[in-house]
Amino acid sequence: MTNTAAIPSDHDLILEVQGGSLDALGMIYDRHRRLVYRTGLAICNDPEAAADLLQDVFLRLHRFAARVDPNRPLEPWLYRVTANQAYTWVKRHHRWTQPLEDIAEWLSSGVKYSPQFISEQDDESRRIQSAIARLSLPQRVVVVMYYINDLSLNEISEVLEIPEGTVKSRLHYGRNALKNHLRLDGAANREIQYEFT
Amino acid sequence: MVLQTERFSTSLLKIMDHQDFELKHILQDWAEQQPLPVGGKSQLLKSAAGFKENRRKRSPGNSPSQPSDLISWAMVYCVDRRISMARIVT
Repeated sequence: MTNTAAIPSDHDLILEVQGGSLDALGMIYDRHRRLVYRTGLAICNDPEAAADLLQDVFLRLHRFAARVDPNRPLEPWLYRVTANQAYTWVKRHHRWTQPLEDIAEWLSSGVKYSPQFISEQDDESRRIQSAIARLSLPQRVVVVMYYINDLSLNEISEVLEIPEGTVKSRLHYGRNALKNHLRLDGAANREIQYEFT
Repeated sequence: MVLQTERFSTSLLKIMDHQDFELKHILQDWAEQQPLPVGGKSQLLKSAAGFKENRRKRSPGNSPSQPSDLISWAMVYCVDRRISMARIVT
């Protein structure tokens, strides 16, 4: 109980960041970097972009600290900035690279990686990442926030500043597409396993 | 009470079916497996310190770069004008 009292709250740290403290910024970074990086990675599907985004989000916090209300939770602000930055990156990146990526995916769709080269875990991770990346951008953002960040519909609506009905709709279509991509029905799963053994 | 301090909304109710739980489990496991970038904190603090320094330099009453910028601009303008005048004369 005495230990928890010594840990500064986000409220205290934001006040310190507003006063120019870099130590406080570092503490906020340590506390929330997982949330920001994993959200960015799941939306951008690119570790380098997610790492840049991680920097950008916390630099924005430093730069615009005066606009952050210390009396309100910091997480919605972080989610909102992360989602906006990821949106911008994906739209810019998509315009130039998607045709090439579509061709690459089409070419590699028939390739079966042998266990000698790639572990099953890597393969599974790639499969999940690819399934998320195949969702439309608005659906992907909602799905990531709902399943990975474990936010409620109401919270997502607050963060993205869109009606709850829109969140529900995007989640519904995104969930169906994701289930389809991951082949969550048992028969399809068994079929894949037989194919690899 | 603990939940209220950890979450930012009062609406925590999520109705999930079996497949929803499966999806949540799969996606959260995937997210947990992703390694975080190394050295991000030092890079952030360095950039933030640089930004802070720039802001300090630009603050009113502490702007040494402005006069030198003006002089540079004036020199370029004069040289450019001389060259164009010389071209007209020749």
